[in-house]
This record gives sequence, C-alpha cells and structure tokens, in this order.
Amino acid sequence: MKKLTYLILLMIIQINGVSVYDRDFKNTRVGGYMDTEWISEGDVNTFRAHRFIIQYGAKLSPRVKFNSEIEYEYGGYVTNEDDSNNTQEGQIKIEQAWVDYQINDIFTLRSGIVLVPVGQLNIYHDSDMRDFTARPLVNYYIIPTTWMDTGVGGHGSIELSDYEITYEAYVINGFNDANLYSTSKGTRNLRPNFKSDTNQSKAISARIGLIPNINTKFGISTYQGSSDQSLVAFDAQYSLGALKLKGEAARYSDGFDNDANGFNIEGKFNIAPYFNLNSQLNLLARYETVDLQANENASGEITRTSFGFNFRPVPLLVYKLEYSLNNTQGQTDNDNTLMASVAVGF
Amino acid sequence: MGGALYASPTIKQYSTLEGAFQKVFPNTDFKKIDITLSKKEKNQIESALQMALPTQNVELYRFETMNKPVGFGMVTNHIGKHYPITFFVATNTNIEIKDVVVLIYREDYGSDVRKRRFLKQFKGKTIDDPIQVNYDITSISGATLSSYAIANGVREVLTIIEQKI
Repeated sequence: MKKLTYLILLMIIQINGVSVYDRDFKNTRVGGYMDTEWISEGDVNTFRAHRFIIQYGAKLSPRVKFNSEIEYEYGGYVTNEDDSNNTQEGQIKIEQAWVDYQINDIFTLRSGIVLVPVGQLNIYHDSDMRDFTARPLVNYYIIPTTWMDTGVGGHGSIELSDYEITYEAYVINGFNDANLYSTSKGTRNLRPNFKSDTNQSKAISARIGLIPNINTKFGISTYQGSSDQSLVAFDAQYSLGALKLKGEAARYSDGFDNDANGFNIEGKFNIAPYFNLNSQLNLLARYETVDLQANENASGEITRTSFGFNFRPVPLLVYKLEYSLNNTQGQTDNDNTLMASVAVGF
Repeated sequence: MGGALYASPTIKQYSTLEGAFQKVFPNTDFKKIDITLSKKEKNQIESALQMALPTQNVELYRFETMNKPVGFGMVTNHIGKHYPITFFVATNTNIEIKDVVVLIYREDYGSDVRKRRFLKQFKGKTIDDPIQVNYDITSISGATLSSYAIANGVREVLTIIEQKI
C-alpha cells in the first residue's frame, strides 16, 4: 500500500512537471535581525519586543539579485486588539522587496519595494548596525524611517582613483499628498501604501554620495512629490582611529505651509583596544533637535541629548545602554529616558 | 589556493595568485613553504589573536631577487558573513605589511573591501599594531563583517610569519 502511495505521488509530480521542489535553492540566502528593548521613562517601565526581521535574498545569475526584508513589529499583531481586548500596536510589513539587474559596471536597475534614499539611516536602519537604541529624532519626525515605497530606478558608483561617487535614484508612488503632516508625528502619516498611488502622480527621490577617502563620507539627497512636498537631507560621517562621528540634517516643506527641520550629530569612541579586547566597547554621545513647526517660534521644538555605551562581543551582537535628556518646547515636566536593548543580526 | 575548497553560489575572482605575486613582488622568484602548525602552536597563535584559525596548514611564500629575500606572503581565508574571503597578504623582510590583495570574494555584499582605499590602511602595519576595526582600521559601510575578516587575516599572517620565518 505504501509503495502504491509513493508511486501515485511520483506520478503526480511527473505529470505536473517542474514543481517548486525541483527548484535549486542553493542560491538563496536567509538572514535577518531582532531587537529587544527595555525602557524607563516617567511611569513607563517595560520590556518591548520591538522588531523581528527576516531577510530572504537570492542570486539568480551573476547580474541578477533579489532581496527582501519582512518585519514583525511588536510580535506582529495586526488586528490592533488581541483576545483579551488589549490594544496591540504590532504589524507585519515588507520593508524591502526588490530585484536588481546589473546592466553594466556603473548602473544597476532596481525595481520593487525600495528604501527611499533620503539620508543614510533609512538605508542602514538595521538595529544591530545602529549604536543607540532610539533612532534619531530627525529620522523619526522628518525622514519617516523606515520609509519604503514602490517604484523603479537605479543605483551604482563611479570610481576615480581612490574617490568614489555613488548614486541612487527612483521614481516612486510618493507620499500621500493630503495635508496629513502632523505636529506630533511629523511626516510619518504621509508614508504610502503599496496598493496604489493616492494621487496618480509620481514622485522622485535620489541621493548622491561622495567618498573622498576611507575616513570620510558625504551625501546629499532629496524627495520631490505632489502638493510641493519636498525633503532635502545632508549626511556625513568621519572616522579618526577609535573615534567615529556622524550626522544627518533634513528639511521638510509642503504646499500646506508645513515646514520642519532638524539635525543630529553622534559620536562614538571605541575603548576596547585600551583593555586589549578584540571586540568593541563604545562610549556614545548624541545631540539632536527637530523643529516640527519651523514657521512658528513658540512651539514645535524637541531636543534630546543622549549618553551611553554599547558592547559588541562579536560584530553582529550588540548590548546597548543610553540615558536621554528630553526637552519639548512648551512642556515643563520633561521626563528623561533610560533605555537598554540587545540587537542581533544573523 | 585553499579557498577553492569552499562552495558558494557567488564566486568572483578578482585576481589569480600569480597576478597578486606580480603586482606586489614584480620580477621576483618565489619559493613555496608548506608548514603544518602543531596543535600547541595553533593554540598559542589562536590565544594571541583571540580567534580561531581556519586550519593547521599554512602556505607561506618567500620572494627573492638574485637569491636575496625581498619579502614574504601568505594566502589566507576568513569568513565574511557566510563564506570565506580568500586573500593574499604580503610583507617586506622587516615583516611590515607591503600589500593585501583580495583574490576571491564569495558573498553577495561587501566586496568593497577589495578597494584600495580600504586595503591601503594595512600598509606598514606590524605585529605590534592593534589592526582592529574601529581603532586603527576603518571599516567599509555595508561591509563591516568583511572588514573584520581582512583585519583578522592580516593579524594572523603577521603572527605566523613572525613565528615561522
């Protein structure tokens, strides 16, 4: 009887021809990252299962590459209400899913769900890559990280001796062009859905980077869409021995008279070699400010100064601790934040 | 080349071993020296480097002009994220790094470590230098693990050449 079942199964497979089981998976990669946070601020004292991300990629040929990133946030509840009527804020979303076709050495065509190339942190947003637990204010309120959109474009680099110029440019659906800018959430509510373009009009986004040497990187980037929605950003980083400095500045404006800007500067100093450790122990400091109502003087400014350290026993595992002094304009009782997290890439 | 043993879907050869020899030590003769480290030697080196060595077998090369040594070299393999990077590390007779050449890269991302602006940081380094990423070596954005792999390999080669030559 068993033999007969196998025979029938074999016949079904033969009749259907090539099935998914016949596909060669040797070119497929699986990776990802996760983070778990602890936050103490005012009355809040909680662990938070923030992100669990799975990345699937495949190299279909030497010139064709697929990559994707699927995020489960806060456990991935999507109903916003669990069985006990507790509100859940989780979500499952695709943060990237694109195919690259390398046309030549300086141009690669990319299409699918792409990370919008404004600033650097939106591209390198992985928790295990970042040194602080909290993402910078400018990358929350002005550049709505993680910000992805559906579209097509290209990227590449041109090398001139040790200099390198990189570029990335896409035509995308763009922000929702209604007046959804919020003085409490900045540009976050403008982020697009993946089903259709809300205004049937395309937007563009591009970044040009300059790498003059191993220690220095600069980038200017922009987004231009309907309703005069505009974002411009500048990013830079500089390394000198154990010291690394980086920062981003961005400005958002639109045709509804909303105007916002902000910047951050972040430094880290690796003290591990002074203790003869072949790992990383970084002292951290960051100053950042955003003005969510730049056309008004009386309100909208948020400033945060953070200090902390992180320990990387191996490059893909980081334990982080930071203390932040928060100041929101017009608010008298600003709670400071103590935050810790562990992030691991795999 | 030891790296040929590793199977990977994405194999890009940036240089042959002979090409690397020509680039770093043009117009010289070379002698291959096969060394098998004893377990004790391997352990000692691993504890000095704070990392595991991929193998006990070492392929050292001695480069000569008119029978006078001009430098040494070694091929090593260190894992980036999933697969090993095969690279050639060369020193002068004072055992200071003369050059590093990436021979084979197998990962989908991070091949920027083969570029001059990254590799020239190693020139002149000796066993007395830390050769640590985010200290005296700046990593390449988007190729952090590969940057660690090259730095680890350079420290490994300097340690072995110091001990075995």
